[in-house]
Amino acid sequence: MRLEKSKKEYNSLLKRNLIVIFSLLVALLILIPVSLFVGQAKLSFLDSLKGIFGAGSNANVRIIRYIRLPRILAAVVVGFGLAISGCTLQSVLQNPLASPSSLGVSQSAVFGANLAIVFGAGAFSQGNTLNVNNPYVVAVIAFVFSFATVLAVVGISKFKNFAPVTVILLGVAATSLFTALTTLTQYLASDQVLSAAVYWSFGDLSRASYQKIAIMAACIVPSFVVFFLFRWKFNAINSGDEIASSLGVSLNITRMLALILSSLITAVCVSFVGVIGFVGIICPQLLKRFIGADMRFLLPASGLCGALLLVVSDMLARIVVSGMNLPVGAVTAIIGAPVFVYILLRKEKGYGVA
Amino acid sequence: MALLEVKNLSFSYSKKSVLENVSFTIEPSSVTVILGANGAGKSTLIKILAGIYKYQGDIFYQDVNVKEIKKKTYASYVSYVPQSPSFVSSTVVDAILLGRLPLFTAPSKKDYQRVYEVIEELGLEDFAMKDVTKLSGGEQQKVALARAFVGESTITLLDEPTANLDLKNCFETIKTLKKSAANGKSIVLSMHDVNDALDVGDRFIVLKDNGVLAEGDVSVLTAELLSEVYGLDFHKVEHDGKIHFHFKEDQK
Repeated sequence: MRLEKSKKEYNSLLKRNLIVIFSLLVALLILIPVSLFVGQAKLSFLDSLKGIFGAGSNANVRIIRYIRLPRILAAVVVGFGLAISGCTLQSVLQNPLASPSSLGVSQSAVFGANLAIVFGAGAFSQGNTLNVNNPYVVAVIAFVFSFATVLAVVGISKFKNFAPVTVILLGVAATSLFTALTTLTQYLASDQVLSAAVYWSFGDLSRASYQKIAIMAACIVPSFVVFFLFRWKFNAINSGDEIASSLGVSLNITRMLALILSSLITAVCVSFVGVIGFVGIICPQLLKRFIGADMRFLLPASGLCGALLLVVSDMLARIVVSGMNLPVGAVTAIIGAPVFVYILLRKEKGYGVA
Repeated sequence: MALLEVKNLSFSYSKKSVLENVSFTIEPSSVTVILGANGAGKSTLIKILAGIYKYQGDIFYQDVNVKEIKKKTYASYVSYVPQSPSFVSSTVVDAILLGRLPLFTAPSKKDYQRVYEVIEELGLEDFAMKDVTKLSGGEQQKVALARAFVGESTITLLDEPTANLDLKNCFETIKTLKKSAANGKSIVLSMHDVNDALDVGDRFIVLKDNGVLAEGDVSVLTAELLSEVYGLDFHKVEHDGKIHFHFKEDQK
C-alpha cells in the first residue's frame, strides 16, 4: 500500500519535472517572436511578421532578417551552450561554483582570440566596423587556450585535492593571468587592431552572422547529445568517484570528454560573441531548486533556461538605455554576480572554504 | 569452482606497500568476512575487488582474468557499498535506480520493478520518496545496500557496513546479508569486530602485515591468531553452541 503511494508520487514527480522543461520551452518559443519587435527601430507586429518573410520595406526586412533575427538566434544558441557546459562542469567536477567563467576558461579563450587577432588573423576595417578576417583560426586558438586552462585548473586541483572553493580561486588566478596577458598582447597591437581586440572582449550578440550561428550550433547540439547520453554517468559521478567507478563508469574518459566539449562550447561562443559570463552558473543552480540534481532533467532544463536568460538579457540590453545597444555580457554579469554570491552564502551543502 | 580467485595480488599507495602477494578465494553463496587491525588493508582490498583501484597480480572471475573483462561488464558482476555512502540530493527511488545504471537508455519498467522490490525487501517503503540526503546515517546505509542489491551482481562488497549503525540496524543489516547469501549471492565484507564477524560470516580472511594470515571457515579463528592480529590476549568462549572471543585488558 505504502509502496503504491510512493510509486504514484514518483511518477508525478517525473511528470512535474517534464512540465518544468516544457514550460521553459514554451516560454522560449513565446519570447523569440516577442523580442523580434523590441528594439531601437519601432516596428509594429505586422511589420516584423512581414520582415521575416521578406515583405514590407527594405529597411524593415534588413532590420528583422539581418539584425534582430540573427541576434536572437545567437542568444538562444549561446545561452543554451553556456548553460549546458556550466551544468556539465558542475556535475563532473562535483563543484556547484564551476562554470566557464569561474574556472578562467572564458578569459583564456579571450586571450587566445586576442593573440590570434593581433598576431595573424588580423583585423580590417569595412566602412565603420572592424572585422576579423579569419574567425575560424581565432576560434581554434581560443579553444586551445581554454582547453589548456581547464586541464591545468582541474589537474592542479585533483593533484592537490582542493576543496571546491579553492578550485574557483585557481580559476581566479587563471583569469587574472590571462587578463594580464591579454593586456600585454593588446599593448603590442596597432590602434586599429587594438580596437578590434578590445571590442572582441565585450559579450555582444550583434556580431553573430548566420554562418557563425550555424558553426556554434554545430558544436553545441552534438555536445548536448553526448552530455545527454552521459546523463546517468554524470549522476553516478555526482554520487562520488568510488561509487561511479564501481558501477563501471570510466571516470577519466567521462571527465575528459566533458571537459573537452565544455571548453569547445566556451571557445566558439567567446570567439564569435565574446565573454558572456554567469549563464553557466545561474541556470543550473536556479533549476536545481526546482527539479533537483538529476541530470536527466537538469541538463535540458538548464539549456533552455540559459537560452531564455540570454534572450531576455538581450532584450534588456536593447531597451534599457534608449538609442544604445548594451553588450549583453554586461547584463548577464549584473544579474549573475548576486546569484554567485547567493550560492556562496548558502551553507547547507558545506562547500568548504579553502 | 571459486567465484572469485585472487592470486598474488599486490597494491601500494604512494610507494607504501599496502598489500603484498595476497591470495584467497571467494566462494559462491557465502558470506566472507575480511578481518584485520586498522590499516591492515581491509578497505583497500574491498575497493580493489570492487574494481575501483588498479592492482598488480591477478583476479579471476569464474576462471576468467578480470583484466580481460570490460570494466562495465565486471561492474555488473560486483556491487559495492562504501563505508560512509555519499548521495546527491534525489529521491530514494532515484538513488537506488542508479545501482542499475541504465546509461544510454531511459530506465525500463524492469529497472523500476527491481527498485520497488528492493525497497520492499529492505523495508524502505516509508522513505521511497524522501530526499536521500536528509535521511539518517542508518537509513542512508540501507539505501546504499539497496543500491548494491538492485542490480544483477553476484558479489556484493561492503566496507565496514555495520561500523556506523546502532544495534538494531546492525542486526537487521546482518540478517539481510545472510539472507541474500542464502539466496545465492556472495557477500564480502570488512569488519573490525570479531564477534560481529562470527555472527555473519561463513568464511574468514584475516589480514596482517600486508598479507593473508589465515583463510577458511570458523575453525581458523583461534584465540592465538586473534591475539597476534590485534595485539590483545584473546580467549575463546563457547556458550549455547555459539563462539565468542573475549580479551583481557591488561595484556601484551
